[in-house]
Amino acid sequence: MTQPSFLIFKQMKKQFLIFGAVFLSSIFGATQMAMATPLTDLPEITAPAPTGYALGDAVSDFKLKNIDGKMMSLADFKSAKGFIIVFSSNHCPFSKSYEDRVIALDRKYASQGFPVITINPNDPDAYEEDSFANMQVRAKEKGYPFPYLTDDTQVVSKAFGAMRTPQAYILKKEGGKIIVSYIGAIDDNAQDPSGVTKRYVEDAVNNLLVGKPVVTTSTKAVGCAIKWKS
Amino acid sequence: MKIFRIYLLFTLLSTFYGSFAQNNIEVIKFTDLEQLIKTENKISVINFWASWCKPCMSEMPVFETLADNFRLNNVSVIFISLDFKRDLATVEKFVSEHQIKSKVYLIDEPDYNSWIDKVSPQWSGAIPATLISNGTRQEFYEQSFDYQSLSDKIRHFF
Repeated sequence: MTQPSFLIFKQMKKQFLIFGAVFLSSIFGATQMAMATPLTDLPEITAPAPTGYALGDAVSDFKLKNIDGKMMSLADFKSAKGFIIVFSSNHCPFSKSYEDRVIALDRKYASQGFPVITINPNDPDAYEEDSFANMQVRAKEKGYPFPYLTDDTQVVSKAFGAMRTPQAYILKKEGGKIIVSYIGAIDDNAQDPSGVTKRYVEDAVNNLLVGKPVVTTSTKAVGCAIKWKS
Repeated sequence: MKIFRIYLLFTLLSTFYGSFAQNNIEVIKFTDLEQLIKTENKISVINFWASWCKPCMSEMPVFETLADNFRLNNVSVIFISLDFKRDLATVEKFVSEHQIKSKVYLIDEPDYNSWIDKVSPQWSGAIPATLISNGTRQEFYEQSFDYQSLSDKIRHFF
């Protein structure tokens, strides 16, 4: 007990004075700024409506470069009954989180006629991680059993109407056409494979394999917005 | 007594500091987000972002400026991070490094299909996305904002 109590009080008073000054000046600053903002009305800026393939549409074949340097088309898969197309990328945490699950999809369904094809739609100028060289590195590290194509002109991704990575499209060959049968998420838990309760892609392919219609034909999912070239 | 003084000083300082940089991030569920959307008597600007989303991060200063300028108009900015819960530390680091003053939450609802339609049927799932709400009426935008276009949207609610 060496300190008289009035000193503490004095100190507190000083603190409150400082606080008061800062508080008042912040209010004053905010008022000034709010008044300085002109009240004008500008025309609405609306996001462009997404266009691209809808369910039931026939897909046009494409030719894109695979990580082995060779060009690849859907027509190269003569015996396939359909495809699991996944728009994917190196940089996106959601794509990374799904990487092992996409590999498992290919291991399960390629032999049954539904191979996985992944397409990287991103502008590598925006994300260095998505450059062709980095795609090759990642595919080698993880031992991708499926093609990993670069859509450097982004024409194919736009034709599909892809918006995010990862985003899955299930295609089914039917009467010489390749028909869109599912669009959306791979399953219902991006973060944790053990927490998955709905396997959208697996359920859809399982139904197509036995000639049944797909029950859940489209889902939404959060992912990384595709970076388009300006 | 001396210890008490030091303690008092610390408490006071941390209170002052806290009032300027409150960045402890609460992990919330969709029901909590619904409460935020339904809060009446103010205009809530709810921005969905993530620490991995470049366009999101680059527009955050726009929202911070808006919060400063419209504080007296009863406008508050709320950042909802869609980062994975396991990346909470990354989000906290980002928020403290960039001295984000608006409230930041991380929503832990990995089944996006169960809730993003309830935020807005227009939402495809891409971010950045922004919901403006006065508790009863909402406007949703799946786009990036500059200051002018965002403040124009706010004025729809005045």
